[in-house]
Amino acid sequence: MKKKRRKAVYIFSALAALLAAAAVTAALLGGWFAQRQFELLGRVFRTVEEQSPRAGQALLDALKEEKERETDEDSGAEYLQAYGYRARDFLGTDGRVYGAAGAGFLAAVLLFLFAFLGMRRRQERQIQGLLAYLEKEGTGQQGSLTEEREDAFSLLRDEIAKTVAALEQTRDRARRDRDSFAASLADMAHQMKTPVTAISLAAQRMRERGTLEGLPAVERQTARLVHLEETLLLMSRMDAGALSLHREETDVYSLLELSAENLEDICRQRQVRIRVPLLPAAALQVDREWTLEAVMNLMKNCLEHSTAGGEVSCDWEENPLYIRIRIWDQGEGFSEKDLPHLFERFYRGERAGRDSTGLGLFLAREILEAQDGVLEAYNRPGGGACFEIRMYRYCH
Amino acid sequence: MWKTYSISYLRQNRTAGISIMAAALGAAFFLSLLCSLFYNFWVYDVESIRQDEGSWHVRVEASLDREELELIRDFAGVESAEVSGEVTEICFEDARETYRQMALIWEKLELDPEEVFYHETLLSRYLAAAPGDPSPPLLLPFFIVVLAVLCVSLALVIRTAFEISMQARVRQFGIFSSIGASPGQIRRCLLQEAAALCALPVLGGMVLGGAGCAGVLAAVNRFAADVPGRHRAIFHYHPAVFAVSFGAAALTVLVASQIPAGRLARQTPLEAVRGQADGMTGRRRRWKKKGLGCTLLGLLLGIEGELAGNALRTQKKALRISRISLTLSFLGFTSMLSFFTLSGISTRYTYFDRYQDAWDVMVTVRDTELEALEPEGATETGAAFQIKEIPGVRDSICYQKAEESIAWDESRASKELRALGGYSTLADVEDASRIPSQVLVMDDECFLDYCRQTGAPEELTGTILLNRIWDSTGSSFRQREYIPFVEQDGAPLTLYTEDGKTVQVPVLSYAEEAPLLREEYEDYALVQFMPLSLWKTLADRMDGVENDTYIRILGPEEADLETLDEIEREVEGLLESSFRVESENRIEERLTNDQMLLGARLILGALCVLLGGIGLAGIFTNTFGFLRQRQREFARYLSVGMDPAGMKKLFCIEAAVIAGRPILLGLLVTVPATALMVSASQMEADVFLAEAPFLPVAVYGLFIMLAVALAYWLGARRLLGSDLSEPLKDDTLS
Amino acid sequence: MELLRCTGVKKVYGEGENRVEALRGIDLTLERGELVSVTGASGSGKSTLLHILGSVDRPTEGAVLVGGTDISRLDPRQAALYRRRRVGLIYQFYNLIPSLTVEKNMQMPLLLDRRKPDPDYFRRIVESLGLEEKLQALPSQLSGGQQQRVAVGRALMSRPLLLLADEPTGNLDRRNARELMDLLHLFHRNFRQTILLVTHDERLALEAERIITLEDGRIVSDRKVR
Repeated sequence: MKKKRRKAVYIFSALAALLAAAAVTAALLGGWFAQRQFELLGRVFRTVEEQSPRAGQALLDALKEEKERETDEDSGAEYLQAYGYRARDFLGTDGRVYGAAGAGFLAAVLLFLFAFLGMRRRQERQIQGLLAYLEKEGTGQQGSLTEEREDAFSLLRDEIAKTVAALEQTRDRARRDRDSFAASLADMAHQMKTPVTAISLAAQRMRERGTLEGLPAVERQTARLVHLEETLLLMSRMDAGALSLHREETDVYSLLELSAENLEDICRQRQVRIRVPLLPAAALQVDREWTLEAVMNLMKNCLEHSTAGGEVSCDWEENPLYIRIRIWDQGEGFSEKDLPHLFERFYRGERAGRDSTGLGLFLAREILEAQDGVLEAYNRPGGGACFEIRMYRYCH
Repeated sequence: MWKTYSISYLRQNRTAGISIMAAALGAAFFLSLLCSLFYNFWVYDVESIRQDEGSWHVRVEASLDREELELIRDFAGVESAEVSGEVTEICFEDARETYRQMALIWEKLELDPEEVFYHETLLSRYLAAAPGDPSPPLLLPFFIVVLAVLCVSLALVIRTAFEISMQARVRQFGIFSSIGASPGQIRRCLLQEAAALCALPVLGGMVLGGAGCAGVLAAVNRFAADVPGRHRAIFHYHPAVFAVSFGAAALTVLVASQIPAGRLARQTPLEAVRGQADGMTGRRRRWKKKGLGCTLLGLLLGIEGELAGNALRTQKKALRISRISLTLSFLGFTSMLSFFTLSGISTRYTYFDRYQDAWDVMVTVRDTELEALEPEGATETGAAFQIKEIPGVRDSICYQKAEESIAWDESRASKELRALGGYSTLADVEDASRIPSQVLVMDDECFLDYCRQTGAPEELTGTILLNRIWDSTGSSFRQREYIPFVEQDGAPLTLYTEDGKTVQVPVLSYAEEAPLLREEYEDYALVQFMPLSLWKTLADRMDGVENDTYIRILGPEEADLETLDEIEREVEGLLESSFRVESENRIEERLTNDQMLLGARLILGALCVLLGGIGLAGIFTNTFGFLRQRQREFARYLSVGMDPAGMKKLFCIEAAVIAGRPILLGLLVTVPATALMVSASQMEADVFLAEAPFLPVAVYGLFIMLAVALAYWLGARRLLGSDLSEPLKDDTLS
Repeated sequence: MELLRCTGVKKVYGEGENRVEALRGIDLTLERGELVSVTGASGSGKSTLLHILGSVDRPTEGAVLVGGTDISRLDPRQAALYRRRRVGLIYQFYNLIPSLTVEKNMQMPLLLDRRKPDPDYFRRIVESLGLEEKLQALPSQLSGGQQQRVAVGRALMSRPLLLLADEPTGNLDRRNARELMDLLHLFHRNFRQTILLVTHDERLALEAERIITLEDGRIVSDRKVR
């Protein structure tokens, strides 16, 4: 359909160009003919008048009549034909008419040809430009694209530029991920150093003394190592982009309720209650398992900072933009020093528990952000720490 | 873009659309009305000239033979060449070609240029002026200029309407530009919008204007139906009228629609989005130099005066259009009025007032010699005598006119004439050996009466000379001063006869007053009054006599229309059986004339009101728009604590300046222009001043003031009534 | 990967006594995928810089190279194309077209190219901006936050290389400001959208990856945060 229309456009523009050339030629020729006719008549009249002045008057009469004639019934050609004249005898001896007509036609054809070739050339140039650009980008240099005019090509060029930019960014990101992975590796080594050193020290001491007094410490460090290993495994899966999220409709209430249930042991141990209110249902589009993990981490953090007999509360609210979930405790809240760094990897706050790895909040944020969520922490005006999750709509 | 944007914009801003449509409709209507009125008056004028004076373009007063006539007809531009009597009347296909073509014709036929007469009144209607004419007729050009001025001010009305609605939209188009609309796209969008908005109103206005013109003509026809000697005006419409009015309207619409685009081109998109009037530079420069005007206003009227002065200064550009349209309308109005006053005075002077008491009933007896009314030997039965007997006739004179010439010698001239350089200087002729003489032949009885009146001997053997000549060097043609023509030496006159011989005519007496006749005598001719019996002895040899005979009748003193009608009927009854008679009577004529004058005044008055209306509409829209643009400025004043009274003062000052300046400017131009016109028509200044249209001009000036004041009042009410914090707070409002 | 490079950009307003130097030589490079905030006191020239980068204003001196083209030397039509296809602008005062529906307002940059928006992409943008219900409304019927979200949607519609936001939260309350920032972060994260954010709010500025501070038309600090 589109192709057809374009073809029609070409044909019509070609026709228009030819018609215009024809019109110009016709006008020029018409003027030239009128002039010739005028001169011819003048010459004829002068000759006649010189030979018989009386006839001159008659000729003038005829001329006037001719000027005022409206109909064209009587061509008058047969009069001259009777004397053997033909119309082309008066065309002029030098064939200028044919020359003019030919020149006009030639001009039209040339014009059209030039326009056509010019268009082709421009298209070619544009394609060359695009090719050069792509080649440059392909070899890792930065190409430049300048917009020349507003046409289909410029749109294409823009899209190519954007796509190239996107690919470039992906490449960049992969490089950055690799770098950060190396950094993570170093981090992990560092984190493992403490328990490993502790274990080796304990082992050394036990060998020296021949007793098993260091055994509990070794066990404790080993447990910590196991915990660390589990989290590291998790992290590595996420860092490698292997975190596969199966997003499905999840009810906020059941999510919170489930995580509260899972934390029942700790609750009992610390004598803290978790209250999940009954609010209007709200559905999230998230991966149930991972999100549960994240919420549990947040709740756990709250539990750990609650005093016995305290309470951990939560609520949620839905609006067109996002679903907001808040989880808060009645403890002392975050220290000002901690606040900006809470979600950093391996960051352990001033009030962190003994076996905190500094990974829980980091993980929670990674999980939520991977699902278009935003995690924020602040102190409530009345005291107590609060986590606010805003799960935005799906927008990949 | 146009579809998505303009349609929804127009749908939601109906008032803006409607105001533009109304302006386009109104302006197109007036344009079309004016153009077609102008055209119709022109056609009517041409037709009346054709009817009154013939439709020939050139007259050749020489006997042409058939062949020459044929030759003339064979010239390309000649439409017809007809012989009537001694003269040949030629019409050309294109009147404007007349002078060029005629030059060719007379060259070819070897005509004497003296014999070629151009129909200048008719030709001037086609703007054909003789090449090299130092003072071509300027009436038509004057009207064309007035028409052009009107067209321009109408175009300005459309432009203003656009300008107002577009002001708000410069910002919107700035937004468009900032999200990537190219200037071309914006231009196209505006163009399409203007075309869609104005196509119908402009066409409608064209049709309505044409219809309005037809209506005006119908009204004029009805009004002047019983004016004798007037032909019906028939409505004409020419494609050119449509082309001109439509072209002007369409062009204005298209040009005006590009205002925002033009403004955008001068700014970065950012400035447009921020709604800065003319870029940062302009805004900052304003505080640098203060004009004399603002300082003066500030000194006189305090801070409000200074603020007003500043606003007017900085908005100079925005106000320029309104100032121009205001000045133009004022100018058009006043100059039109002065012009008509002038021409009114001039016709009255030349015609009516002068012959007030010279006649009551005037009878023209066609193709009749005076002799026939007073046959020799049977005076008692002659018509001249019988007319005198009609009851109610106080006095009557029968006379006939003849254009003759006499032999002249400067030594015959009076001392006064000689002191001025003699006849040749005064009449500006080179050869003063033969000068024109106008002969009025009167019936003998009346001639004797005239003799008694002037104190001449009561004889029928000679003529009485009207011994006066206009001193054209010392007085204007309106206020003539006369000096004696000839020396009163009693020497006889030498009259030229038909065949170039001369005949001596004795002079009875020299009179300073002519008999009471409704005649206008030629300026540089020696006028003589001759009794019929003397004329009879000469008549055969004279060739200048006119065919018609006139009878001037005076009715009783203080005659009324009925008496005169009665006399008129009686005279007609007396003469109709044997002669072809036409008669007029003074009171009736006067009435008709008054009626005609009234009609003309009504039409001209309507025209002036129309003019004024156009101007006022322009002023109103302009001022109103000017105020609306400045909402934020006023809000700022109020927010810094100016009270409503101060605002009112500010408004008053601005209104006074806006209305006052163009009036002053208009007067500055009109007064000298009128003075020029007055002096050009050789009229005394005080005569004009006595009738100058002071009142209408003053009223119009008042109306201008009122229109501006009304616009300010409405604007102020709107401004003060609306929530002023809005425009300050929010940039997004538009 | 370099997206944009300014060299020696200066901007002067006015003449003579009124001469104001808004920018006194800015050298700056933006990388693709960055979220940069520009801060500084009012009058420090941060908005001027943004407008020059968005080609709605012209520098008095200096060059702004985007993909090898100096955008400060483009003619008006080319500049319009640049704005339409390469950058998205968000202003403090939304600058929506009052007479167009939300839908048309958002699609305007594409309509200017006579293109139809990809319905899928459009739907996703609209949904993530929470505007599904408001598509047929007029800007005047929306709250400030909603209007600003429409402006964001419009800026994103042509998938610009660079999103420029001039005090986008300046006219919003805390909550709406927070939401808008969340959205900008989301688009940055999900589309690797390059964003340059001008704000005088220290707290919002700190959320960026890179913070540039201007003072009196000069860059006084340029640090990466993360």
